[in-house]
Amino acid sequence: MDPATSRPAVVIDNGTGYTKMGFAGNVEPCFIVPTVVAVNESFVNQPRVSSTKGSNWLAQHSAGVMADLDFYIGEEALARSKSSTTYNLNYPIRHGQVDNWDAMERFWQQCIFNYLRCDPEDHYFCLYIAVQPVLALAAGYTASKVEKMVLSKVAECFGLGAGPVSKKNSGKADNVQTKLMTFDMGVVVDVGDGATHVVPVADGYVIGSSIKSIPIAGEDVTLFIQQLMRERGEHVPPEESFEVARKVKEMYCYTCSDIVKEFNKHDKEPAKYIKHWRGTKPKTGAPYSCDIGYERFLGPEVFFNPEIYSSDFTTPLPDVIDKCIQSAPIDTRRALYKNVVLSGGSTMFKDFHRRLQRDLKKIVDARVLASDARLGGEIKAQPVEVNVVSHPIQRYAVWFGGSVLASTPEFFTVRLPEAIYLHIFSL
Amino acid sequence: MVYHSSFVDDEEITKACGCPLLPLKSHIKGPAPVSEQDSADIVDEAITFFRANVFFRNFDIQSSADKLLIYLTFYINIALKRLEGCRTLAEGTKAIINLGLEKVPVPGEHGFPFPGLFAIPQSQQEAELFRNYLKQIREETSGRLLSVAYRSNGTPNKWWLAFAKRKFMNIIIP
Repeated sequence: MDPATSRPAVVIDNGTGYTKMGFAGNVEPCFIVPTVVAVNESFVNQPRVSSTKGSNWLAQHSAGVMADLDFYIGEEALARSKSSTTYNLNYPIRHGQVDNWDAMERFWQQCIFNYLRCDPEDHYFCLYIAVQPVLALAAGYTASKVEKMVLSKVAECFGLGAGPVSKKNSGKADNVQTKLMTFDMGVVVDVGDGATHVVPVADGYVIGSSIKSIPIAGEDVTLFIQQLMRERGEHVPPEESFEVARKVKEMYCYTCSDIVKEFNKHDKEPAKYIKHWRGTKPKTGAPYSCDIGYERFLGPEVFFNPEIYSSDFTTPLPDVIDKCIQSAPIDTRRALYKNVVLSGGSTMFKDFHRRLQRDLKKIVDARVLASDARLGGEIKAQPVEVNVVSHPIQRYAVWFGGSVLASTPEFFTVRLPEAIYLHIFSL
Repeated sequence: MVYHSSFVDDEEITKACGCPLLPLKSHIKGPAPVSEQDSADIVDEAITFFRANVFFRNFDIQSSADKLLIYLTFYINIALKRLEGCRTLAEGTKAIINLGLEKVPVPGEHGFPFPGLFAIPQSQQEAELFRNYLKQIREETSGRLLSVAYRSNGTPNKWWLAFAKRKFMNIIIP
């Protein structure tokens, strides 16, 4: 009897902004940490001394060995990099894709050994690494170069040379399935920090050709907020401005129904709407404070009017969802509109689901009206019901899906011993 | 989505250069017809919509009143830029008066910001009429802008002046 099956599997979801990790069977992850590694770079540039100079060489050599282990991840990394200059921050995942495998490897090391404190040999793993959408792989195993590399890297990381590693493609469908228990028809709108995807699911299968993704995500909202605060001349130390913008986004942002009305509300009752942020400068320790005003509602507005942030991409999120559903088979469309599910940290803004539902319903109603007019008012189409579902586990829905999946008995039987069960969002 | 003007019905209003000369609640002398004091006129609309519309780079025009709205939004952007360095209401007023004394170009002349948006004036009279209307509406907008851009004690209101750095329709202001 394999001892690993009696222990819960480890579920790790590596996202661009945050990594959620924990054990299968739990309702929420044990740790949610920013996906960042702080590495001690001061030893890297030491010149290599070839001749043995006794204690000098020894000290340098041992320092080099220790330097490898001298790194922090997550919140600790952010704290260390602020307090001293010896640590450089490294974000291994950008826009949903792993950029820096060395940093990723270190990140996983710390996750497993320091945070979760478990032995990789004793557990099965369920790893989520959001990969940039390549092609929709329906049933076949035509592994693209990226996936092969991911698989080999992960196997190398955990020292599992033996035992083939296998992957499953319809990760999103499984994830979504377990997330809502009876989910077999609907659209998943996953808005993360690095990338946003709209994935329709019908009868339990992902409709690969209808998947849409947009380049606007949580990080863009943060950058926009940072830009607005800088334009206004708020007194935030420049090295902290991105972090402050991120915290402002997470704590104070909300979705409004109408920008102009919101501006007026802010003007009329500043005491109610304008918030204050207090921080201390990292180098000098001096306190500073700044005001937070209209970026509270302009930040999330980026999803509904991407034009205000960048001219590269101008299609609002409700339009993208609508296009996605319209490209799905016609008999599934009503059911898809009825069940739009939100997932991902960037959907946590207050009233996000209500605004999305309202905008999507507007588009759908306009289309129904136009078709009624074309038919001369004789035949009236049944109104399409639009429903955007929001639920408390939105923030780590992907992790939750993995947790439920990894706690089903089938998870162990399908796997080979000591192999990593890799779920790639190969969209 | 950009906010459009509500003055869509322009049947009885005189037009110049393809743009209706909408009524203003103004005490300043000029060719504009007088509007009732409690309704919102095009200048109020422009100021209310400014902070939202300034973010957009594409504007779809639904009526000819929208053209005036675009012109006013751009003018408010210029005015805010002039007010950027002024610390008090007095300085700001001076800067705005200077702006008002500058030459006001009409469509077709060099220096008009939106070539192609308005029709070229057919006669010298039309050009002069339009120029006077623009002068009047600019002065009116400046006055109301100063009342929102500066607080009651004369200090600048940063929630407005921050928008001086924004570029409406990506046009760089000389």
